[in-house]
Amino acid sequence: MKKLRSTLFVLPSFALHFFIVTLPACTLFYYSFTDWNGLGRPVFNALDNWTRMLKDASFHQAIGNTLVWMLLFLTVPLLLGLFVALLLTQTKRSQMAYRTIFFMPYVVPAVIAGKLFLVFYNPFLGIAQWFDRIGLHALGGISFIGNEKLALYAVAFVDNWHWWGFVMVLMLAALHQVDATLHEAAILDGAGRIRRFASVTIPQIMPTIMTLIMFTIIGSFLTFDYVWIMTQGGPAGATEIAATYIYKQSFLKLETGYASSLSLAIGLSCVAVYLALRVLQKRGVEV
Amino acid sequence: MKSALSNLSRHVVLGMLAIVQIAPIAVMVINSLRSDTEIKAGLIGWPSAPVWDNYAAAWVKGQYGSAFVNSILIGILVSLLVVACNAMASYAMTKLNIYGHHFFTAYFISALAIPSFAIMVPLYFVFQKLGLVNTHAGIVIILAALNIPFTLLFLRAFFLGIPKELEEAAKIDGCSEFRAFTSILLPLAKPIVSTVILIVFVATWNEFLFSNTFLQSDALRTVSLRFYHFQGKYSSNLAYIFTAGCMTLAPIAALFLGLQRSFIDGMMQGGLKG
Amino acid sequence: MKISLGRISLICMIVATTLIVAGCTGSSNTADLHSGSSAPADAPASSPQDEPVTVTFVWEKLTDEEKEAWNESYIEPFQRKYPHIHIDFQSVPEARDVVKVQLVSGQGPDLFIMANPADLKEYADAGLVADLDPYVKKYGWDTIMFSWALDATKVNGTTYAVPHGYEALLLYYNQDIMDRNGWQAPQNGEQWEEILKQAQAQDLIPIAYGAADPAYYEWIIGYYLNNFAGAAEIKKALQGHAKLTDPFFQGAFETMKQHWEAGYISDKQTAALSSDDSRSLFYQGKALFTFEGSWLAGEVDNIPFNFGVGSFPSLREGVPSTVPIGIGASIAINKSSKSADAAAEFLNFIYTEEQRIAESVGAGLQPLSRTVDAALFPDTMNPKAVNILNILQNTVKDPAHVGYTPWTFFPGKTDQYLYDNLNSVFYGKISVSEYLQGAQEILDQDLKDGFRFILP
Repeated sequence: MKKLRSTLFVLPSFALHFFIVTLPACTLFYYSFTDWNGLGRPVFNALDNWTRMLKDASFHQAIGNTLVWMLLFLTVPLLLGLFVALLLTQTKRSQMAYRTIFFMPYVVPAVIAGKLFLVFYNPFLGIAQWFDRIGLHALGGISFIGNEKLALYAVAFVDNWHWWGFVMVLMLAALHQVDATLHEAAILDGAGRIRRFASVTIPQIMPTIMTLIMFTIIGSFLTFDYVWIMTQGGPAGATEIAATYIYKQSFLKLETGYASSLSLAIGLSCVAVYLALRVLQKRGVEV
Repeated sequence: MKSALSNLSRHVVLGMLAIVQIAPIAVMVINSLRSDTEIKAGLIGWPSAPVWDNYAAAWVKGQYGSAFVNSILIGILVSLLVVACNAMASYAMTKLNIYGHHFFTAYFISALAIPSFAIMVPLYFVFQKLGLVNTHAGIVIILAALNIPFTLLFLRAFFLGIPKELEEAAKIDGCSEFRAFTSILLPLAKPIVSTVILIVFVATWNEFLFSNTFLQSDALRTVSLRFYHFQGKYSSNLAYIFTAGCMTLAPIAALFLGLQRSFIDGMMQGGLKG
Repeated sequence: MKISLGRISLICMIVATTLIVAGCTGSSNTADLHSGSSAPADAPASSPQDEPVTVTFVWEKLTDEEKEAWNESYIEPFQRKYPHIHIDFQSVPEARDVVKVQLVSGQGPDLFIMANPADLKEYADAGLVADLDPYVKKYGWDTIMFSWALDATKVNGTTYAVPHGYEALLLYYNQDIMDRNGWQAPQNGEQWEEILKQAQAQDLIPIAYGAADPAYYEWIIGYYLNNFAGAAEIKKALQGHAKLTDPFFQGAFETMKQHWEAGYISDKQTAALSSDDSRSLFYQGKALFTFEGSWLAGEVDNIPFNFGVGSFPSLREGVPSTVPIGIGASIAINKSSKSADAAAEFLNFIYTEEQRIAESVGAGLQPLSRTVDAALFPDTMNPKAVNILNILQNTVKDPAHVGYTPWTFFPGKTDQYLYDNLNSVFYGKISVSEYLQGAQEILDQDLKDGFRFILP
């Protein structure tokens, strides 16, 4: 009885989410087997969408870009956020000021941040002008968005600018949880700074780190705003990621059936990755 | 001596990062006082003659008056709803003995993989039948639901990090679960709860897709949608756009500063001693 | 719980904001009211017995100036004449997506913009837009509007939308820079390349052109195809009598690619420039030419120098210098609308009264797809704008020099393929022949799906 009553604690969150998000999303299952333009009647086409997905080179390129994006975001913001959080725990004065400054970009709406950086990146009117003026002509000649090798990184830079402050705030919250007595015990044992960090701090904040990792992996497939606002997946597919590709299929090309199968494939893959991690967990790492 | 040097180097690093973080925002704030043609002639520069009128003009043109009321109202409702539901849920999932807690964890993590535009049409269809389209109630429900998985997982991570000793202490005192929850754990959880409120409020404040589709009357529309008053098909008024950006940013900055205190409070309480 | 300073300040801020906002909310509504326009007052055409009707009308995002122009030129005059019909005019960002969601749910506005002519077939097939032929007959729209414009909004011979503005792709140049260097507007391909090279040598951007949104590539495709392959060839290909892989089309894109490689086109930076940016560059005198359309007439006040406007030069012997024309947006009526008749009344109203249309153009709106006596343009209108509009009107009357804009005359999927993949050609990922082969495959499919070229 007590167990049942306790389970009810979860019900509001679960029910709210299930009925508003999951149920409607189940339509993906249906539409992924149809040819549908999003307007009229869907026409059943069995596995056509799925076989098309396997041959779709643009989709594969988008997945490739998404994986690059994922790697960037599994490293830079997490390391930066943790590093700065650690620095801040040792900074008493002006900690508030720093925290506010680092966090501010998170609050700027994507539309505005995207537009702002687009102007910065503008080869004629942006930062390039300034570089030229101070004599750094080599830098002044770089086109961030126009160059297909740099574009993805240029956009990732903006999303990172927006995101890592938030990671830092989460790390701060997690770090404050770390039991100070454990640190004291470790110091008495003669453990150096790095040793303490590795064996006391990291394990204690592991749940937060793992959640961030999980979220980054799955989130990379859904991230849309910055890429769409800044490059729309161009030039020539250099910044095309999973979500922008699916959006284009669904809304611009009116191939909503195919887009549904793409979404479903990605969603199921993410779930598979999670389950695989769970299996790993049974043999060690605390998630 | 060593600590002075490490102090200095620490501040240098933090300082450089701070410049990168704040520079674009500073440009936005400065540009909100320049005219559109001036900005298009040169992005980074000091206003030749401060255009204070930008704020008044953008406020009126964008109809920010009603927008602010709407955004604040919706933001508060959504944050409270999410925190209330998730605090209970994450506590239960981590500290209580419940049925299917692996299932729920797996469910909410998988929920992260659901793209929001996939649910747009079925949701609109149902909400229209229920009369929830173009109402604040409707959008609050939707945004709350969308914010649940992400924040729940962080709350859960936080609760997992709470040392066992605390719960034992509560049980020894003979508290029921609910008492333990409210008087010991919730105060401890202040940093993360403040964070969650902040995250949800910001997400709701900046949310565009669903707000644009489900809120149709001007009287109900939020701040994030007003930005488009300054953008036409071919051209945009950058001065107003940046001004709009500043106006959008200010309340959230205030919120962040206001909630900062609870982080510090949480810090003071810290962990257990002895 | 200790009340901290931060919390107090936060509460104060919220309270203050709410108070200010409550005070301002009242005034925000008055911002929409305007003093009456200069149009002669029309006697109301409805009587007190008429049932009050509301027509919701959704347009895409508009700046406040544009919205004011709409109100003054169309909405308010209509309301004065038909007081029993209330037009609820909304400009919605992402209108296409929002309206689509509403339509599919069985709802949706009575009147809405169809910004992509290519969408019309899909909407018609899905039964979401009303058949407008009865209204065409009733109001005689085929006598008022350009026949080709009205044909552009037909699907399988039935009219499903009403064309709104019409436009032409023109070439704009900085006259001051030309004069300073003694240059003349290019008349053919060689002169075109020559002047571009010289502009580049002077550190100017030869052509300012922004295609950060690849859909804007429709413009350059329009210029080069019409002036190299020629309008006649395009028509043949779209009717299935020629192939896009034929030499003339190859040549058009090869030439385009050469000009790209040489850096004439925005220094190869089209992907990093929005149309906003390219205009800024042109207005600042950093570029010699810019690709724009007749719609720039609404912007002439922002151009601080003497500018010239004309037709893109012919790029091949035997092909006349051609101006691609097309329609901008069109307006459709929701099939499940209960106020269809009132909505049609509004559409008719927009199109009648040349005087009012001329004044709307003066206010910066697009000219509607019908002839308007140039003498009616308001005196206050910038003569440069009048000049552009005259060029537009005269071109339409001159079939020998009329070309086809991709967004109006090409089938949707083919058009999309062409502009989506042009960057791949520019960045060297695919060759021109591969590009055109892909385009032809899509065109074949479009033809099979029932696409018919608008003109006979």
